[in-house]
Amino acid sequence: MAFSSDLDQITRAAAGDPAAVSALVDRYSGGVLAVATRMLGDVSEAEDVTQETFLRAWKALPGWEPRAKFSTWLHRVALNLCYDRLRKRREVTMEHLPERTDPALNPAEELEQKQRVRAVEAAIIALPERQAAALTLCALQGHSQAEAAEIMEVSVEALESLLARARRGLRASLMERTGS
Amino acid sequence: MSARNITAERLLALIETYGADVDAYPEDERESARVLLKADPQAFAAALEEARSLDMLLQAVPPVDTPAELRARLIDNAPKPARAAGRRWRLPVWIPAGAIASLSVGLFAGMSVAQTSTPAQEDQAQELVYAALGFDTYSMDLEDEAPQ
Repeated sequence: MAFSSDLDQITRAAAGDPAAVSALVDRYSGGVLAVATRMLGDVSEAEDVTQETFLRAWKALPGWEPRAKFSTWLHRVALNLCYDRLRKRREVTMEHLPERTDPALNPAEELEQKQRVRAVEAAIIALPERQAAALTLCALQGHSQAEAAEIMEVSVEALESLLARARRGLRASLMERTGS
Repeated sequence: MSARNITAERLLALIETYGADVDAYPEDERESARVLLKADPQAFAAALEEARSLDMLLQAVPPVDTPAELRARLIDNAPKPARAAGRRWRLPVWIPAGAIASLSVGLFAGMSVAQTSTPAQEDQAQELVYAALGFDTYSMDLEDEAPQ
């Protein structure tokens, strides 16, 4: 994720170099999609957010100024799009809310591991959005504290507070689900 | 980045925030965290155990791969090279240049012939042109034009 390598690829992608475009997509689309998926819990919506994020990136490329890392900028755009969608969801009535993953739906058909994963994914989505974002960026996507704080536009101290609360909330939620 | 000494209280906060893996802690606090953990393992055992069980659950969450169809859409929306974007059809430079050169040579040759040809040669040339256009003969035309 070298800064200079990004700059070179951004310049070439802005000029329409297909190899540079593919390299940027391959390097960053997985991370953006993962954040959107963990935040929204809906694959289709997450793909829409990823597409919108990259559309904005392509538009921004010609005048790109390296004030932030490209990856940080991309994740910030994706995260803000997720916040917008979560906000809109709260505005619709409960019966129109998209169905969320529920590990209790088909317990007999699920392997134990798969159930645990689904339970964790559901518990992350149930967290307050900023806590979910902090946990996804740091614990699942492996961003450093500084990167995650920059993406979320908070201080490292605030990020740590969000992370600690997210882990506590996740643990409580999982204990509640398993009844232990 | 210079290492920072941390207290036992700070280490407990780090465990609660980042989990049991010291490599996940801020870089400048890792070394001090390792020293504290080694010095008094029992003091942090319960916190580490609790954090480790959650870490394992988080690690089991599979990574998300970009589906091929989405990848294709992302690439398709990207900027295109300037020439392809405009789709303006242009002739290669050598075509108009070649046409101009041919025209010049033709004109020059034509003018040279016109200046040096005799009336007899002109008649011959006109006869050839008439024949090529499908008329019977040049002399017949001349007869038709002759005063009655």
